[in-house]
Amino acid sequence: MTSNEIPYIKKDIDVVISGVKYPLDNPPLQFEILGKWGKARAAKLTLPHHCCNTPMFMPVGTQGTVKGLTSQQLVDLNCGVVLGNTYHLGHRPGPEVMDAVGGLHQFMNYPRAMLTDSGGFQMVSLLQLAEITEEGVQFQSPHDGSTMVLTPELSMQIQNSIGADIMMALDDVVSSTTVGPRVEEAMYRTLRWIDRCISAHKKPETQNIFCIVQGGLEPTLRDICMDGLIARNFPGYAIGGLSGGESKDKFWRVVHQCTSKLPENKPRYLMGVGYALDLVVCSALGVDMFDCVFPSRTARFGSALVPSGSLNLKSSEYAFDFTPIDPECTCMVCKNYTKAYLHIVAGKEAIGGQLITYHNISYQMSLMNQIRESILNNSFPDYVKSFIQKQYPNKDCPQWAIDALKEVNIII
Amino acid sequence: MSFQVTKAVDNKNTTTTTNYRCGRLNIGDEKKPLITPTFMLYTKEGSPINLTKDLLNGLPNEKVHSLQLLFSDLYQFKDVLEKYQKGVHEFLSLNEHILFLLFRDSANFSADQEFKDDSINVTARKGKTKVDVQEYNKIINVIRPDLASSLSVDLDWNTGKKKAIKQVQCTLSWLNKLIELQETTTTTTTKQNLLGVIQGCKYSDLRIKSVEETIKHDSKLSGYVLGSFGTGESNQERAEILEKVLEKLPKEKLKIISGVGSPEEILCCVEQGIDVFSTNYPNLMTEWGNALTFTFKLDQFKSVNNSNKINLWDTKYVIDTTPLVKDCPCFTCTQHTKAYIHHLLNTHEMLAQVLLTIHNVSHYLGFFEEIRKTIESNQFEQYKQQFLAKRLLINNKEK
Ligand SMILES: [Zn+2]
Ligand SMILES: [Zn+2]
Repeated sequence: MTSNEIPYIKKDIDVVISGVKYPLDNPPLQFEILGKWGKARAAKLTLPHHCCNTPMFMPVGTQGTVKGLTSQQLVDLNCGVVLGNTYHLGHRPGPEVMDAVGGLHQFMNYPRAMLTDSGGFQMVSLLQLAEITEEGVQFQSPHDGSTMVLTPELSMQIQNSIGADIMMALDDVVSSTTVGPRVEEAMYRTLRWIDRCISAHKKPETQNIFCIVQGGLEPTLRDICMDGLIARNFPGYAIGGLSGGESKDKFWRVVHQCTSKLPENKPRYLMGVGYALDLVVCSALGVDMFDCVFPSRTARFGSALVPSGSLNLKSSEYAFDFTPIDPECTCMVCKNYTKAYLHIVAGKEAIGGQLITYHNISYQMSLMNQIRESILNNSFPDYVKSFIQKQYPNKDCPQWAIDALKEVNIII
Repeated sequence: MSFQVTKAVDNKNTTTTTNYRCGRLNIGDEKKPLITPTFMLYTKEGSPINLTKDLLNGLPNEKVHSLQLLFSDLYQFKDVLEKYQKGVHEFLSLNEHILFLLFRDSANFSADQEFKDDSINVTARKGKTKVDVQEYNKIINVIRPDLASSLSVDLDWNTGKKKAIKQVQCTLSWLNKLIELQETTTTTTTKQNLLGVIQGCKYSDLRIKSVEETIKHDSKLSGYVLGSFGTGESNQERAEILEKVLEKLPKEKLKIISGVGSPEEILCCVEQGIDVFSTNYPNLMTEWGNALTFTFKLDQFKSVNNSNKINLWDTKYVIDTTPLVKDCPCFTCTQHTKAYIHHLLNTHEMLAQVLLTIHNVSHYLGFFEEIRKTIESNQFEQYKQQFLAKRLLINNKEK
């Protein structure tokens, strides 16, 4: 018997329903579904700083900036929510500065909504020496090597200082490829930590906590976790522990399971997902919110997102191409610059990164906009089919996507 | 193209000659003139550094900017422009702006530039290549900037006389050849606006010879570039040579200088009659994490005590929620704080450079605007004097 096959031995503290409830029945968040097609929903999500349309993509502004874009450009691109990373912001500039300047909105002068993660995931993935104990995520300070612990209380405290519209609960993160008893242990711990997050939350009138469904690729664990979380009545629910190297076949089944059980009237956020095909399929499965660093990261290497996939603008095939990245795109970059010019600056000059990032965020926004419009005007399946036709003209759409869409009655 | 001097003040007394003026450079569209004195924005691969089109056009100052295109940058994509056919403005999406094609890189002056009797060496990404006049003529007809410098190579101020003589001679013979080619091989519609280049390093006899020979072509030239400045000379040395050169150059023509760009240098050169500066001074400040904060408004010299510049890496800005410069109309100052920019520098985020560039370029544009205003209102000499006194006072205080 390998260690993965040893059944998890439930401890007394492993409780699903603790009796703890989210402090407010009317949190500062309204979610109004405006249209549906199957499981897919188009909704209006009203947050303290902005009224957003879902399904939506949220660009990642790790350190309080989305790679080279100004806050005005983010507004021009019609971004609704921008993400900040608690691990990075807690380190620099730190919660004292955040408190002194009045939070991240003020600090980066972004007038619209923001979301912060718990810091746990980044810590586990960035720091090799991170270790999870019942108290929290123990790690060595990158400053002075001293041992520190990110507890649910500390995560909430930092996120309260940052002041985002949505804060994420600290969860016990396990890699999505982990199997065995560790997954179950993490799921129960996530439920215990969530109660500590609730009681540490100092600003429920102005900030919302989203909890995170864990349970790896085990349907029974995901189910138990959702029972516990739903009983606590959160303003919104995230699906965590995916997009970490698991098979796409398992990935979509977990998403499908979660969106089938999570409350219909609450927003659902699929963490770390941002490839175009994933956005379309998971919107079909009923996800409302997505985030990913991919569009800005890939831009810095000269890669531009287009309806047919992506273009490596550094490739010499674009040296004499005098058309825009995407002739259909109405963004500032596509209106003004050719591929031939972007080829000259892509991956080399700062301006190349700025321009391609701008277009890529615009691409993500317009993709979500098209998804939303098609749900609202009842043409969602047609939209999905034409999207797949453009991405996979040779009819080689991955099987997992075909299977997932078939599950919601969209036949490719 | 036309250049009109709209206001000129000539003063000659025993110690100095002043010859400053405001002008108006019209390229095509009369409604969008470039008003001088001004400076050209520094570019890399044809784009102003860190300024995407929306950011460039969002600068709070005049709507028409001049930009310096570096020949060695554009040389690398000449084949692309040739195929493109629509010219460099459209290619770079800089239609509304005025583009000068120059040889001197105001950011990276290399004193050991090589040239032969018939050609110069251009350092391109793929190595060095030779460009002769014929080739250059072909390339400028493809690039089609608003104004193109004649072929020339800047040398160090203290270059030996033999080499300086060769520099002057080559520059003249290249100009002759280029004008001849322009006259014979191009139609009137594609004829370029050429700028003659005055060379000769520190040697006044060579400078004078350079001027005298170059102005023989005056009717074919749209203006003059004063070459090999900012290459190691003192302010005094520069002023002396400039005086001799400017005295002899036709008054009504545009005068451009490269490699000179600090506020003090600018005021002195403007006073002597320079119209356009090619400098990377604001970009250099950005690179160092500096924001320009010097007072440039005549009516504020007495009341405002800003530093001349501040360094945003300084930890004293960690929670400073004030803008870089109070009342600055630029995007950075109206929207962001010192604390945010400090954080962006500290975390090596590119937006730090973007925001500093916006401010530093705006600040410099504002400085030039004030220079023009004081010339128009006959207060320039007073302005220069008070400006320099204020800078010195604050520099000394900060030491
Ligand atoms: Zn675009
Ligand atoms: Zn400013």
